[in-house]
Amino acid sequence: MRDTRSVRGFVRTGSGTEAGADSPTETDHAGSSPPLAFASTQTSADGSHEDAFAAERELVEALKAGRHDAFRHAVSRYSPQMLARARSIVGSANAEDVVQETWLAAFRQIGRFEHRAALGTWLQSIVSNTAISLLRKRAREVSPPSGHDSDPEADWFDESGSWAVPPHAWAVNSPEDLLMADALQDCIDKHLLMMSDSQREVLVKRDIEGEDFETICNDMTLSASNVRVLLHRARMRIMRMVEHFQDTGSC
Amino acid sequence: MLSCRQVTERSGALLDGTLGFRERWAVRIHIAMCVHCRRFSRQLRLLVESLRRRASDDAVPSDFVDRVMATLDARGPEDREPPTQAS
Repeated sequence: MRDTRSVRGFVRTGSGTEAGADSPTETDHAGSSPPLAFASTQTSADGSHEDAFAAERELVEALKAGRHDAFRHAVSRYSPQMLARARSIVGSANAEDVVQETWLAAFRQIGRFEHRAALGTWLQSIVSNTAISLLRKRAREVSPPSGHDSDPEADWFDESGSWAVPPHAWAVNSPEDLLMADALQDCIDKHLLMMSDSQREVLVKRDIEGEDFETICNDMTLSASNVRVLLHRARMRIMRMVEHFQDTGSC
Repeated sequence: MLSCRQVTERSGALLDGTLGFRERWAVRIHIAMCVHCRRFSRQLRLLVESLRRRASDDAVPSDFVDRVMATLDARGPEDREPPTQAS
């Protein structure tokens, strides 16, 4: 007889007496339960879109049913891209916490998932929101909320609008060089915290995540011109910091 | 003729492809003639490209899945929100 047991929040399927369903070393598809199609979603990416779509539906249904094997499959499949996204926003030190938080949120909210977006997209949006919230929280702890919206490039120009302090040539010549400079990346993380919440959110969404302007305006309920001004100021703040870093080696 | 400051203010929009035809050409002509704005524009592009590539680091710790599952294992069914619709 088929046994379906619940362990805390999870349901584990198996043949009961043979499988030892509560053992941490169990085989997830133990006993008479056949493996489901979601277990092969990675290989079905080479096949038809219909196969991949059906496999994802099946995975989501298994997640909604609280199946342990489905969560383990989803966590191993989606975590690499989620960690990459989290690292790009909050840096390496906090990325794992953000992804852990995201899986807890996904565990809580999967019942409300309605396939309006792909599962991976839904998870990435939780990663982004969690990461942006964490930055907002940390910004409160490390920097005073004043002076955010001052004009970062104000003293670069004279009254006629010509360069008073022209930009220096940077020692880095490619995006790869810039990414390899760990101290500079740490400075970018630090300066993300020093921006206003809205500047930071626009910069993260546009330049780190590559979102289009329309999506950003809708998400943040801001006009296109507001978003452009916030983005410009955020970029100028980072430009100014990199310029300073090139001169002094610190930020 | 645009000033250097005006070109700086538009260099991000040039990168994003959100400038109109006339402004795009006005910015490009200025950049072609002004060494400082050319450098600024090139370095801004470098910075924005590097921000976008920050997400390409993909190393995942070997025990990460186990740690996430341990956290989820500690949660009970009461932690799960009910679905919004019957299915």
